[in-house]
Amino acid sequence: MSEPLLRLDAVTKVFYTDEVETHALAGIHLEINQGEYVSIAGPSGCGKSTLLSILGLLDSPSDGSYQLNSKPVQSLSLSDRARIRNREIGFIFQSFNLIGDLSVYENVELPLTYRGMSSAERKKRVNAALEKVGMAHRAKHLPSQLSGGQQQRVAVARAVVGDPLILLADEPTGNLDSTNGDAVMDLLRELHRGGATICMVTHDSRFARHADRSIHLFDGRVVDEDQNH
Amino acid sequence: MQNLLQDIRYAFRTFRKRPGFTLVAIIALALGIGANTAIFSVINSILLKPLAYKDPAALVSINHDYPKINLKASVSAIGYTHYRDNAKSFESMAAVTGGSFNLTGGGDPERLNGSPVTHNLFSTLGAQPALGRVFLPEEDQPGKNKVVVLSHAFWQRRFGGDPGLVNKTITLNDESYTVVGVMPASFQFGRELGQVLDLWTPIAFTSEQLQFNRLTNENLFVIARLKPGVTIQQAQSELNTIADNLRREYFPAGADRSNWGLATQPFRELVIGDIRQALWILMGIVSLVLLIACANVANLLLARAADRQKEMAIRTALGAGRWRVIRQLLTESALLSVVGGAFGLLLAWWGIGALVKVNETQIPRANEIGLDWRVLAFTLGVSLLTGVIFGLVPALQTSKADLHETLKEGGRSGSGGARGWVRSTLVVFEMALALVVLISAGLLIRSFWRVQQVNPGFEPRNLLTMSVGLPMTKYSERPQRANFYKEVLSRIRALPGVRSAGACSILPLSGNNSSGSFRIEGRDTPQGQSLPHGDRWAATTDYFSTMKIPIIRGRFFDDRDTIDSTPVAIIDQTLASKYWPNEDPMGKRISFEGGPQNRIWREVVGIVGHVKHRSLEGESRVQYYIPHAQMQNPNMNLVIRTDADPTSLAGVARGAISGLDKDLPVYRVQTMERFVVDSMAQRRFAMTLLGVFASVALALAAVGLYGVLSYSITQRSHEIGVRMALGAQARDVLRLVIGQGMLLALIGVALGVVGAFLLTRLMSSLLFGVGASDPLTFAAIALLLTLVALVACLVPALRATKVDPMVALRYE
Repeated sequence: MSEPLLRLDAVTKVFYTDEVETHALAGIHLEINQGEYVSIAGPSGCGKSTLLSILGLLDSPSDGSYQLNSKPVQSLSLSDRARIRNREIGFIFQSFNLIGDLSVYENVELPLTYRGMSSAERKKRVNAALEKVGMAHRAKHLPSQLSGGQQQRVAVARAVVGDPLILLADEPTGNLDSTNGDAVMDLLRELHRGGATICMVTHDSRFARHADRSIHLFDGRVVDEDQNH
Repeated sequence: MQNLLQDIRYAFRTFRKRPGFTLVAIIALALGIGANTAIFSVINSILLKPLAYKDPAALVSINHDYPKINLKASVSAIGYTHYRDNAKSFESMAAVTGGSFNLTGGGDPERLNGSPVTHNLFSTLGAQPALGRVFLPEEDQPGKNKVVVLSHAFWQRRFGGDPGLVNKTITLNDESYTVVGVMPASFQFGRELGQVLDLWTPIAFTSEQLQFNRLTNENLFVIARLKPGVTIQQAQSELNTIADNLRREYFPAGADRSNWGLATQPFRELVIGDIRQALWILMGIVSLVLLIACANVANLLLARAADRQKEMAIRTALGAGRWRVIRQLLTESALLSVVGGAFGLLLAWWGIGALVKVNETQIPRANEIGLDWRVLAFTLGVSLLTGVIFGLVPALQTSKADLHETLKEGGRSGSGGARGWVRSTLVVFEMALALVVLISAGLLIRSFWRVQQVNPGFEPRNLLTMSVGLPMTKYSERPQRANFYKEVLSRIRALPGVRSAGACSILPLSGNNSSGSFRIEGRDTPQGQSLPHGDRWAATTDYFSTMKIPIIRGRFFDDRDTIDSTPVAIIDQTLASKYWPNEDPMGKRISFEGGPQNRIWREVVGIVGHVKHRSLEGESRVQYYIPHAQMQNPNMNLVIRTDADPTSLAGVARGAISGLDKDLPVYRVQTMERFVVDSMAQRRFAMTLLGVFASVALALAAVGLYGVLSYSITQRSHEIGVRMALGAQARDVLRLVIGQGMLLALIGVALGVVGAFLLTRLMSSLLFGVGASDPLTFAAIALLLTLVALVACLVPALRATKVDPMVALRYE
């Protein structure tokens, strides 16, 4: 059996605020394989977003190990983590997190500029990504000129433009109405069909079922795991 | 490179989108950088830029040195020729003296500033004429010296740049001079010492001047060029040997040989004079203003950084490393400061123009002050450095955001507490620096006020002055000169509106000096002591009463004092008390003329008040006056006391002079008050600059405090809303906000007082009549800054009282 794309072993995350110690994650074991579509579900405050931040190298675990693409990444330097985020991970946030001063094209181009890629290559990739999400006609617009659904499609384009190993989506439909939410979920499913590995945090059981596998968290622990198909 | 261009493009876009922020930041930076550029351009021109001569470092000046009376005198003709012929350290040595010429014929008569020079002046300076030639060695001979070289500006002004003027003659002092050359516009010898010269003629020493008994008849400025490889110390050593030999050979036994020598100094040092320290102090203070501007902009950026926290977190999440984010933010801040620097350069250019216009003759090398590549490099360097200084803290703060928190939906911006602390620290820093700058300015303003309070020893109000020079060709006889001035003054006194009129060879505070040693009858100068030395002038009758110089004993000069009457003198009270401390000087006799066989003794007939002659703030020498009727100086300065505005009489007074001799130009027509004002020019220059910088510092500090409080109120609107919902009154909110602001202000003031106490002692030499830690200045400035801070706090505090609790709570 081949190695999983990512593997968490006994990962914990403790937050300290003044004298209060909060255990956001308590001994998480998780494996995600190449091409898999995994959803992480659970009630508010169960540690879903914290887990996704650790998976995305936005945060580091307090304890335990994390291997991404067979390499330990739990204690990398800041610059190495930035490099891996840039090349191997694509993010989709609930609040889109597009940069308001940049056009749609520039927002999608942003991760590629941090790779030092040539302008021509960037252009090719950005246009392809925008085509993929159906936003090529809006390339010159600013995010503020787009609807929420359109902004999230741009965010998806930005996530996939660098051809990452895994897409991490944090409540990608949380700020959208049902129509736009469905459209984004369709887009993710389409990407998965095309071979993308996706890990999505959601509290909506409808959307969780889109994934191959659903992991349920409670109080920072994995309490259940379903195979959906 | 591509990334850099992208960052620059993005930076411009963000500036455009936030015009308010951009404008305030650019104004603050332009003021800070502009002020630094302006002062640096002055320093560059005066202190750093080489003089505009060939190999200027090799140029030195030579003086007769009287160490015991701290006098660096000019050099005599015999001295000059002796050093020129015997000193081996110099490639060449030239002599220059002051002169003025009446130009007549071909237009209105004009008084010109000219300078008789030795023929080799131009070659010593390494200067070539633009037209014609300079002087030949043989033209240094009497009778062969009626040739003239014109300055470029004078040639343009008077002759319209006529290239055919060379080899033609012009009439100077009623004598015909052949124009042999015109110097280029770049040759402005004399200007670096505040003298604008129109022409040069050859000096022709008389055989009488070249006798060794005239060794101390000093009236030449000597400039020399060191031979390649010879240091100034080696040259000084050789001059010491020459001086030793001269002392042994020509100073009479019993004379004070130790109080005479030769001193050489780099010409550049002579030009710079004592303005060096003032300039560096100004530079230090102006860099504090820049630091305040930096702190201000850093605070603006910190406030803006809070808005951009999410953007930076997104960039980081997408793979931008911390350094990459810092680089982008620094690119933005550097760009901001370069734009600010460009505007600062414009401000400096405008400021320098105004500065030069006001101080053209009072500041050395003022004509050279301007923008050049050094100034541009300085501005660019300061701009980039400034960008890094004010951009670094916000960049570091922004780049270390908590990504997990920041990217969360509704996540907090992170490190707000740390940023608030940094912003408060910056405001304290600004207040402290502003206080140092303000106190420095306050001390200079107090000093200036003190100088203005100094009694000059005469009454400068309602006094008109004008200068007249009689050509010796036309007024060769002594009685002619005495009678001319007697008649002119008589005519002027008869003019309506004139109360009285007199004349003196040199006016107080005019920048001209004349001094000499004298003997006191019956007193031998003991071995090892110098002859008494003092300022000496020729004065007409009514000079003292017109100037309102008080008589203390005896009488003023009057019609009894003629060329044939008993030689007399009037001394000032400092001379009286110094040399006759326990005696009555009246009737005692002094002498400064003649040798042992034919000494002329002058009887002291009056004692007058001391006059501040050289400056209002410095110590003047002892003073004595000789009646013009017994001296017959050709060049005199008329003083006319009027009932009303003295300038209104300039025309009729000129008319009275031309009525006697229409070819006599009248020059330097100005009020006595103008001389007094001009004598304080360098002090006013420093005070004005510092005053401007202090105002900028005060404004920046107030804006900084206002900005921090405004931002804090935006941040705390929820808290304020809660407080008001719980029953807080407007006064409670006012107290809360003003308390927060004033705490920062008072910490800043306290630190500033300590800083000023330590730093202002560096400027002691610039102060007059006030101590470097003058309690009144410190207290007044601290109070002023506190009041300004209070006003700066009041505006946001009043806004805070308008917070609607419902809106604030709903918003949150």
